[in-house]
Amino acid sequence: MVRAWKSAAIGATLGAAGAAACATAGWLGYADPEPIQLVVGIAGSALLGAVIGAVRPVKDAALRASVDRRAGLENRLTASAVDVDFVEEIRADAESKLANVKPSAIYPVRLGRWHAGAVAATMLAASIFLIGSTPILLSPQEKAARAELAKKGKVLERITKEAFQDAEAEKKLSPAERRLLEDARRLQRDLERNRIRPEEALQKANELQRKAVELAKQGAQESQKYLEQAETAMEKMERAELEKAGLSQVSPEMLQMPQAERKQMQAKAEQKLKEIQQQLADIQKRLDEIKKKLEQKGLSAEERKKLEEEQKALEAQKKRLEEEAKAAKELADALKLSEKAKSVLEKMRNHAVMEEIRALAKQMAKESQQSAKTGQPKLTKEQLEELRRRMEELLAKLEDDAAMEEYLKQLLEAMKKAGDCQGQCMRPGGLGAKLAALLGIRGGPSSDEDDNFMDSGHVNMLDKAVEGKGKTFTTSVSGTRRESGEETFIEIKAPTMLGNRTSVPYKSVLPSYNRKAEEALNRKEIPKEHEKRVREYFKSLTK
Amino acid sequence: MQEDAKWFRETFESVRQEVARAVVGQADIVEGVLAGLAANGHVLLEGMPGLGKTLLVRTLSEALELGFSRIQFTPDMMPADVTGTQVLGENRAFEYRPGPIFANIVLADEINRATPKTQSAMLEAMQERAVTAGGKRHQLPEPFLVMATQNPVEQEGTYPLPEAQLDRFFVKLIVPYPTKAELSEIVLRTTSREEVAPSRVAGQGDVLRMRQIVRSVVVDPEVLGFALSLVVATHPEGEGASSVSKRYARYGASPRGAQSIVTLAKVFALLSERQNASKGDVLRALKPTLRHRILLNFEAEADGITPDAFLDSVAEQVGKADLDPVRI
Repeated sequence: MVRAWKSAAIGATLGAAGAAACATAGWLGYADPEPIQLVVGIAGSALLGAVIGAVRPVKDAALRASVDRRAGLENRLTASAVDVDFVEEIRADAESKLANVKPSAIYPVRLGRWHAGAVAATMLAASIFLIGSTPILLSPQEKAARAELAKKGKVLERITKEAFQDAEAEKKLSPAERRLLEDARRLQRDLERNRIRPEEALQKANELQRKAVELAKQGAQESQKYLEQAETAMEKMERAELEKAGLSQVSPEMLQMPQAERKQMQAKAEQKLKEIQQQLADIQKRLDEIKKKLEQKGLSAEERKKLEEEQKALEAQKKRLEEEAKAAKELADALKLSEKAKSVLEKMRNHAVMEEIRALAKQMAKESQQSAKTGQPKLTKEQLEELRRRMEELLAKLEDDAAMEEYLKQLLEAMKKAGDCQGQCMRPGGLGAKLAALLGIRGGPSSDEDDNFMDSGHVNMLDKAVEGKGKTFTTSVSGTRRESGEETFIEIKAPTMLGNRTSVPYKSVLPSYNRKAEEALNRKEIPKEHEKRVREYFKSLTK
Repeated sequence: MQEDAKWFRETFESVRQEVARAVVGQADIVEGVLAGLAANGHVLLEGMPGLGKTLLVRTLSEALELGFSRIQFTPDMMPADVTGTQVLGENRAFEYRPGPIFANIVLADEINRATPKTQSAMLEAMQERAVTAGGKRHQLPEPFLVMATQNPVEQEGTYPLPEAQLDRFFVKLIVPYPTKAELSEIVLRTTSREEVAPSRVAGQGDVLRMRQIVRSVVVDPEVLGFALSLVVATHPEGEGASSVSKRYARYGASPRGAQSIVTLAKVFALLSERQNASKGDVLRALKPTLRHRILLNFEAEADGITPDAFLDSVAEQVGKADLDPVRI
């Protein structure tokens, strides 16, 4: 127990050291540890240490030496293991001394250096975590800026919670969608903990929004593909129904014709059949005549040859006409049967189940087309769930029909693909759109006040002054850069203050700012490339 | 064995008390000399003249009823003056006349005043416990204990014992100057009319039995390992060399030193009525048995490092390395 107690302290110290490292990494932005993770890490290490300490075996000789040392037995116990004649006497002596020793006195459960170390390391980890997570050491301006960021983080958290209300929904996400969600949550935590600059947040939000739209479009495209497959399956199913009714010669196109047109077409086909039959009779008559003439004697070679050529031509014409007659007959028959076929299909189509299927398919097709265009179909999570449930019920009812089953399966797959996002990546209030709105992406909807992160994301060219909402603070860096020096920069044509709108008319300040910039360029030692960049910037603003 | 240990302690205590009646203070020295007697080892005393060394030895011999002789070494002393000589007897034959070394307890006073030749004869006799004269070997009486003294002050005209010779002494004891209270007691006791006559409390047979009992004491591997670690740590080279010995030691303790430390530890164990030696006994035996067996270098001398300070450092380092095998 004593060893477990000490080993637990060692484990806790190591765990706390690890937690301090994690907290430091979190502070610097390389990791994102949660308090509960740190606590569990320390407690787990302590428990592991306790278990190791409790189960690790101790050799008898070592234990004897240890007890000797701790109880002040002056090596009586170690000597009792030596093989001598009077070993029993030594043992008796050792036992008599040991009888007065309390185990708790020689192995006391007390707080030692390791326990102090564990406490110190835990406090260190907690301090680092708290300092990294709280604005204690910040100036009032920085605190205000952090508070603003934290507020936006809360909004983002609410959005992600709205989109994923339960763990079950999250399980159905694709890997790409899961990554997107993780990125959004990470951004949310960075915002809440003020571990990200506004400019960086804007870039990340842009990236997230782009990914969200891309995913939505991909989902819509896949849904469209499955719907097309479902349509093909529907055609197959109709053909199967016709075959079952012995009407395989009736094409679905015929069934789609208006009745008058079909009757007219049938009459034409019958008329054409009669004409062909008449032509065939005439050809047969002429062929009989030629045959008789050829059997007569006294024909010249030239006459015989002429008759034979005519006979051959007529045979060919007869064959062609016979084929045409057959086709015309089939068409006429088909048209005759089409009424019957139509009634068969209509019976199938008018079946209550099929009507429902068609309605669902129509709705899905519409949503699919919509999402392919904008990436934002209007189906809600609840609607998608209901559609899926109904489709599964229909599948159960019609599972004995192979074609029907295929159709339903295809349709169901399409619906699943559309519904797996649960709406978060496609609907207007979904994650991507919300992110875009929240972080001021150009063109993104911004329906509520939370959605104003950095104005509109572009220069406010208002002629009238607008009252600012926050405070401005700038950081200047002194120094002289040489021509050979390198620098990185982010050009943001937007107000760089958190939560601010420009508070003076743009056109009134631009000339003076431009003049000041020119003066600065002339007065200071500024690299040529940098001068060029400044001039181009102001030039772009005046366009 | 428990009874033997008890008898040993009681006998030892009774002799010590009897000696203490005549010798004021010097408890550690008395104990060291008695331990040497019980362990069959010779004792080297270092201290100022007039500290009661002769009185101690005489009293001890009277308390144990053992033969006593005192040899005052001088530069002109010859080996035969110590070991004995052949003389022409009444029957016109050479007879061997034993020297003063033929006693149970011999006080070799200021042994460093004798020439190396005489010292060697003395030390050879100590080692062999016999004297050879006229081609005949003469066994020294048992028990035999030499208690030699060295004067650390006067160096002129002396022949300091070489290290190899010093190694023959079981222990080296530093005789301290008495405290004021002890000095007062000494003065009062030696200037009054009353004289202390020690009485016999043990005999020759008791000493020999004590030696047997000492040899029976158990030294377990743990304690033996600790003692050997100490000895090895005095060497400037080798695996177990301590940092202090690497810096200050020229030569470490000999194997005879290891024997001595374990033997003296056994005596100390018996004085605690224990049948086994402990690490504490070993530490207690460290300085008496090893202080004359190590040779320090010039740097140690320059830094004022004495053998005792050196051994304290060695003990500290070895003690730190000797951790509790059950880490909790």
